[in-house]
Amino acid sequence: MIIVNLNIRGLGGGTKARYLSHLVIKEGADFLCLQETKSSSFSDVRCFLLWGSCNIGWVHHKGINGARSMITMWNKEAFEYGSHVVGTGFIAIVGYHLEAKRHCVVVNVYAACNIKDKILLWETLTTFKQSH
Amino acid sequence: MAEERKGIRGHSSQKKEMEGFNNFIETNGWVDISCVGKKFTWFKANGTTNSRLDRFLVSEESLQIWLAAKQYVQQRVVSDHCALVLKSCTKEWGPKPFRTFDVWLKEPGFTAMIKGKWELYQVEGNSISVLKEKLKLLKADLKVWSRSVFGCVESDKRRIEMEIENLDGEDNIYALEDEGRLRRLELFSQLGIV
Repeated sequence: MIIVNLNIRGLGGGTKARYLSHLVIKEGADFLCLQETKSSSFSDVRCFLLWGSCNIGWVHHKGINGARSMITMWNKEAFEYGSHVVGTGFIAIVGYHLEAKRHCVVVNVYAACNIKDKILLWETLTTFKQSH
Repeated sequence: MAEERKGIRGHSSQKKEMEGFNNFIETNGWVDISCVGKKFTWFKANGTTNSRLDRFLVSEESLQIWLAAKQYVQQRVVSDHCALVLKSCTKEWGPKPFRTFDVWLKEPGFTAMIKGKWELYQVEGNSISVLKEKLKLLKADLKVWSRSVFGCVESDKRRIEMEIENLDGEDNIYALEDEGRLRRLELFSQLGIV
């Protein structure tokens, strides 16, 4: 399993996208998890360009009008999507890793800065873990 | 953990937060797998503050499937955070390459030995697969030859390193006598050859 993760602080122009697609291809990533994309919407084409491939799946969480937005993408050749759960500060993707022949869950987490929301997130994720 | 921050004064609220996070990790049985590269993942623009804000947490079950998983902290390029890469090796490394050691070439009779062996191999088929099969046979023969001439290099090396380690240990407790220091020098020079 190979996962690339980055708090990108806005996808901005082409430089960041080029950096990401270079990294994803160099590492042969199965998953790409981004936090703070500062985008309220995504499209297939945008994701394909980010990864440099069309054979990918993605789930976006737009946060609050783009603030605290995050996205998880995966390579369909490596991972078979089953379902997903999105909540405040996380995206969980449930599926099957083809090479390892195992069911697995990949959770992209972006915790809030304040302790109250953090505790809530920890509780939510603990419950989620117990149910999977 | 406190050592994951630099340039931030510890407040009691932060201590509580750290405890909460550690508790969260423990309750779920997650493992904060080892880091390769930089220690911090976030750098304040003016350079006064660094923190390890980003990390992969992996379940025990996953660690048994994805062996030797590590998180690699990348260079900071497009954000004030560094990209992290979680990597493990379920991958096959593919066929092992054909290796030779310089020290073999210095050994008298090496070339003659190769020639002699090579001529004995009887392989039929197209030239590419004949070459491949012959190399395979040669590899097996080289292994036997190398053992008989040089012994088992790896285990020799380990034995020497162990002895040096022991002498260093003794040296820490009481200064080594001349005999011990000479022995250690000798071991180092052997290690150079190995």
